[in-house]
Amino acid sequence: MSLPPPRSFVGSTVFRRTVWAILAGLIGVLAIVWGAYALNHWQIHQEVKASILESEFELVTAYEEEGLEDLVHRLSFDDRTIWDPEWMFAILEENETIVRLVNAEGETLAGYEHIDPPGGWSQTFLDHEDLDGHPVIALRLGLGLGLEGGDANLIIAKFLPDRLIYMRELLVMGTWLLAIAVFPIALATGWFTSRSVFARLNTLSETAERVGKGSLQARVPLKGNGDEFDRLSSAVNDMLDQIGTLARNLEGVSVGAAHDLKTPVSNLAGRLQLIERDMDDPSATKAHIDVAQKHIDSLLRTLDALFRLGEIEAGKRKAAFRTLNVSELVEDLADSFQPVFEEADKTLEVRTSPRILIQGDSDLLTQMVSNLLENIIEHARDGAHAKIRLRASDNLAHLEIGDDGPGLPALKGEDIFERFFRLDPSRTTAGNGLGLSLVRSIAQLHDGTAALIAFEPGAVFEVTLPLAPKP
Amino acid sequence: MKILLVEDNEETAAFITRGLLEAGHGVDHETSANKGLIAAAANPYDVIVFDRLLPGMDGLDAVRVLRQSGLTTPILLLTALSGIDDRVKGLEAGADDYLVKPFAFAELYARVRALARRQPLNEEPTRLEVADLVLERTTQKVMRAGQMLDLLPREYRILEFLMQNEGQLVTRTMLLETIWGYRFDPKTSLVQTHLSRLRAKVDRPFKTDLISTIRGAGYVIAAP
Repeated sequence: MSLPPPRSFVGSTVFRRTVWAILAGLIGVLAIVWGAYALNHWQIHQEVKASILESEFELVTAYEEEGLEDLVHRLSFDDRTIWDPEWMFAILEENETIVRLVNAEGETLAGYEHIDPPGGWSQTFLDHEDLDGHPVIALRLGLGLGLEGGDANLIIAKFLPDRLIYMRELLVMGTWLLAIAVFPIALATGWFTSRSVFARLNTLSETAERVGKGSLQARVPLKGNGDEFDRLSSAVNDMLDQIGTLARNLEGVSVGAAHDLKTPVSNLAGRLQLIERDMDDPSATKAHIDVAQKHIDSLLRTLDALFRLGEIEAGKRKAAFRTLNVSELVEDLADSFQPVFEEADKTLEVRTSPRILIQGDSDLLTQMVSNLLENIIEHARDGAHAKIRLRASDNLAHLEIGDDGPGLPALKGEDIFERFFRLDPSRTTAGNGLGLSLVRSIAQLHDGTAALIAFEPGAVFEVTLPLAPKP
Repeated sequence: MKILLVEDNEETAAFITRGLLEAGHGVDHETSANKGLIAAAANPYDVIVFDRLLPGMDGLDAVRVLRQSGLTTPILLLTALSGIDDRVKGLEAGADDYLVKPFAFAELYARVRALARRQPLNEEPTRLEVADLVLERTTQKVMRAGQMLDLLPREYRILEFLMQNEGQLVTRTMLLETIWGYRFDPKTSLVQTHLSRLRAKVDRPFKTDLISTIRGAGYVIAAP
């Protein structure tokens, strides 16, 4: 079933994915920036607090050793115990410490009057008409329990550095800007990306549709930049090439099969007419029947070979594999065929290494070897010398069966294994062109190979079969 | 001979029945496996010819049933399948021989007669004789007119097989299956070549020929 071709890319997966990816990227960036800011913020706070604690230690020590009066004295500048708000600008500039000493009644004993944080650590602002936007970190602690005039409170504070403020402002502004700008950017990027992907995919699916409608020679155009679309397209093209070859082979097979089946049937029909005509002449009728029988035999042989090929290629026979001595099998066959070669005025020379064991099907291997031998009997010239060689290498049995003439055109090396292939295009010679297909199928069923080694003069078929695993 | 034929294809059945009747044998024809089983159980037959593909039951199962019931009558299975395994399966199920359709009537008849004559193994004679030709199975020696014949092992086996079926047709396919164990038909004249070599040794040096060729069918050994 094929879906209607998509015509809009806004709803496409690529578009949605792109938009989501950009949004996710934005959130990631913000998280990192804000995380870095938070870390910085924490670090600065720690530094400021450490500096405050340093001052606290100094002041408390002074107070404990020298008393309140001395502390007040220490906190005075230019003989003024109460700090002038004007001084705050210099303090901010120099990154100095702000101090306020306050008694139980809330009267400022020394320092800057307009700061009143709660106890312990806090972040607060000065009560100052120009500097009330500058946050300070403040520490408020009680001093001198049991002193005359009750408890005093010591407040120590420091401005947070301005850069922290600026950084925060910048971040807030940037976050807003990004949030506003990212949507159009994401949509635009998504649109462009999906449009280009859509265009590439569209050529692919259009080609697939064309092939689906029967034009098997259609191919996906390549951009030539070797990107993933080009790789996919060239894989699809390779696949189409392969399918094309198979289809052509199949066509050849059908034509070959039709021809090889039709010929004996038409001959048979002809003979039936001759029988009818010659009914009065029993000897002529008998002769026609004998010929008709031969045509039927040829028809059956072709059908059997086709059936056998199908059976082999379905791999059904593999279950019946067992270890067998291929040397014995070949010697026995050679022995059987020796007289046939002599009758055909040819010689057969056999050389085998003993006890070569393989995993296989002896019926099929027998048929394979016999097909190769019969091929020689049929096609080699009179007086030809045929030979069989069987030897084992590390893990393969090598079987060579060949003769010294007239050989085969080297061009036809692979074609001869195709079903219904004939060297003679008029197909007038005997045989059904399935013999060598069977040879190759049987070799391949045994995980082996079958190939033609052409040399002058003559032809040798080499079959390799994997040896049985050594016990 | 009395033969039971279980075959659902009318044309094949008519062709076999007619041939067997003409050869002077009695034929009972059944068209389904069940009827075939009943007939086989009810009457004594010399040979049963059973089709593999029957309505309702695989001929293979029918043969198994017959064998399990203790029937020892020789059974010939007919089949349209020529898969290599099918023959093995048929023989394993208990059939004595297996013939792939289409076949010549001569082929079927030769096999039926061979089956009917088949002796239990322990009753097989140790010495086969056709006219002045003698084959000693214990020593594997072959003599004709008191003269020792020098046969190759395969020639000995061909001659032994022919002599076991003295006076009857032995087809090319029967020889291929029995002597060579081939399940396919070689295009070349493999059987003919070997037979002509055998005849060169058994017949040519003597006055009369014992082995004769039935054209397009096979060979017969018989006293003249």
